Amino acid sequence: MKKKILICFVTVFVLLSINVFAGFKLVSSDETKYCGGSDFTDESETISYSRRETDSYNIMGEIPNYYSQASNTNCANLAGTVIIGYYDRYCEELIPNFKAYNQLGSIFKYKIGGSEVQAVTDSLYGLMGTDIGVAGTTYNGFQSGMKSYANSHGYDYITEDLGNLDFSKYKSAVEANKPVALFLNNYSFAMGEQNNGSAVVINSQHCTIAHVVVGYGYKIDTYLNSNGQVVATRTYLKVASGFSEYGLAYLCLDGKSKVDRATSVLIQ
Amino acid sequence: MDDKNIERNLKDSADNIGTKDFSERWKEISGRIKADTEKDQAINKDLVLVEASGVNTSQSAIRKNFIISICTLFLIIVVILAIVLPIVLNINENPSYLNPSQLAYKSMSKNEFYAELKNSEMELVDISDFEIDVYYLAYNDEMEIVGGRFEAVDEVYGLIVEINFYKDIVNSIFDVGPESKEYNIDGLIIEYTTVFDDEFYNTTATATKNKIRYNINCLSLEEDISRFFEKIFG
Repeated sequence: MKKKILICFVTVFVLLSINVFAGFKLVSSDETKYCGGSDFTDESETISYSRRETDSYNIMGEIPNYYSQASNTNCANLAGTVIIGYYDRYCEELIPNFKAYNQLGSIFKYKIGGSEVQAVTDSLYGLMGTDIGVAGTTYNGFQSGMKSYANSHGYDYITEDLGNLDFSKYKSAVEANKPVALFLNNYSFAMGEQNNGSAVVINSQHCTIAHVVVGYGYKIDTYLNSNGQVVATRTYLKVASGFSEYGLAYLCLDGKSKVDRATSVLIQ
Repeated sequence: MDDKNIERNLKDSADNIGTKDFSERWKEISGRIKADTEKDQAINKDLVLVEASGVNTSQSAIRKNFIISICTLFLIIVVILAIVLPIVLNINENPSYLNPSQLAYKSMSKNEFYAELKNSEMELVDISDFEIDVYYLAYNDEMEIVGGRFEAVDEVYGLIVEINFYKDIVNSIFDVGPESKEYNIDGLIIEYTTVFDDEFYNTTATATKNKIRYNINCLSLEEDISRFFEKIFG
């Protein structure tokens, strides 16, 4: 009887452990498969302040706002398509017979997509080795797929590794008009704020699924008290989220997002 | 002294031993006899049961088995809940409401766009006067049309506009900003915010007509885009 009880306890412990630890990734970022996102949870924080200073920048004209269904596992393909769509402005054969933007006087805007853009995403799906074995795309798969696509269209694919986000290098890259592919382990998008001039409630939505977005700018909010002392700093990256609900969004840093890897991209 | 004398002396001594009355003797020993009797009965009972089942099923043993059974049942319930609860809690409490990111977007030609829309129940505003080169329709998991997207260029009004439209079953709340204004066209309210973005104006607007919600992002050379609102919703 004692032996039976012990077996029962061990079984329960193992089952509960599997349930609790099922979400944990035990692989390196090179092997991590980036899939997309769903099941966002609401978060908010309140900061009291006297004055707020903002420093921001984004690539002129922004970058394409392509997106797909959240349940798709092609977030890396879509991120690659965003980068290719961006550089098609300068390298017109990247997407053949397609003008990636509309321009009207001083107004410049990337198109929302189209069948030609979908064809790029479909092509990258194969080139990046997406969904082979396990759903999603690895970092190495992303890199080799992008290089292959650019080279096959007559262009060089040049990247710089920014580690798990060296922010000063990130700033330098976007200020040089180079988009940055961000490989996220979990992440939050800012969802607006309520501000009465002395306190701000910052809302965000958080997801724990590994995802790839493309950074093209940043915003740094510095909050000061009445004595001019800094009470809080909040840093955001301006990104193409790949989701229709968020579009071109602000990715929250300050512990709310974990960047496995950041890579600036130049295609010429 | 010879044996006969000894025997005679013993007999005389025995005859002289006093005996108590039965009731007195019973009073002295009855308590001991009752306790002993109960204990003997319990022991006998155990012996009988052990003989019958080969297991020690005394009352304490029965209680112990009962506790173990309860604990085992509790553990089984915990295991079942650990497996079932995560599945149950993932079920959407409002399955009739979708988020835009749950929709599958499909790009198509102008003719396909209008042919597909005709089969749906959606009564879209008239966009035939606009120059549109990208059309999308959005589908739910049952491949029913629940929304769409298009981008228009209007050289006359000097604007480029992107419009996402959704049926009311799609949770498409669109933040137009904290200090939005309203524009009224025959009772239809358009909420909008316009900011100057370096070299052009950026207007974010939202309106609902015929149970379809329109989320609009417009880049324009002029701040006032009311003519565009009248053209599309008038």
